[in-house]
Amino acid sequence: MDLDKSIIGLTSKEYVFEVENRHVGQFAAAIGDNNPLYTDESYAKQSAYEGLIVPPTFPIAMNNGDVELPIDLDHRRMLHGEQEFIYHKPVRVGDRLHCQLKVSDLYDKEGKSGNMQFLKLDTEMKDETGELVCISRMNIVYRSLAK
Amino acid sequence: MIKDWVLEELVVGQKTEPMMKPPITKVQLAQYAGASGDFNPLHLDDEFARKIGMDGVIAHGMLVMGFLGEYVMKIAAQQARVVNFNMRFGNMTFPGDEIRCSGSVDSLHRS
Repeated sequence: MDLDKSIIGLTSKEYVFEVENRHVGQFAAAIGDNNPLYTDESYAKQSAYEGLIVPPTFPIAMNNGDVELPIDLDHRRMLHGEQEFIYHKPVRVGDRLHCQLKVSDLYDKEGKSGNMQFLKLDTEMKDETGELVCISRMNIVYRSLAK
Repeated sequence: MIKDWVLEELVVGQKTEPMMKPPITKVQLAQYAGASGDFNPLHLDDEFARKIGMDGVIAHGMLVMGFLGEYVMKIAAQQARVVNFNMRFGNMTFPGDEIRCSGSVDSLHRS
């Protein structure tokens, strides 16, 4: 079954994610990214960020493991084709961000192996005043399974 | 990297110094799984990976994007904020693979 356009706009429940020092450290260490912007306060203060930040792909780790959309997606058909991070403000240790996953688009494309569907999922992250901080945008190829 | 760059001196077409990452290890995939929360067995369990037709585990695409993020942040250094960062996943990456990041100045504009 292909997905139907009516899913555009559907959202998960909102969840609050707290950015913790230890988590950020483990994330940067796994990548091997030792940029002082994540650890050295005085270096970070002198930067365009004016303070410590997190690695640019860190928002991918800002899930509590049970974020769900109110639709049945077949995970075997999903291929993470593209990822984008759009920053309105820096993400910092100590932030408590209000996050929500949303189906922002669904469109079809004719591919080599027939019609393919593309799903765009946005996780919007807002600070406690409601201002948008970051969008983590996942572009997913929804493949047909081999028959 | 472009060392101590200023916007006014950058030229379109200019290359940035490449960055070479050490070979990806299975321990690193376990570290990344823990830190990112992505415990898909495709990245951790060779037996599982073979069952679905792979030669063994593959790296998280987001780990490779993490490498690119490291590179981008090195280029931006203290001078710039990265406001938009995008990657298309072109190919699979395996333990032992060495990722090389390189870049160039594509366009310059003021807003």
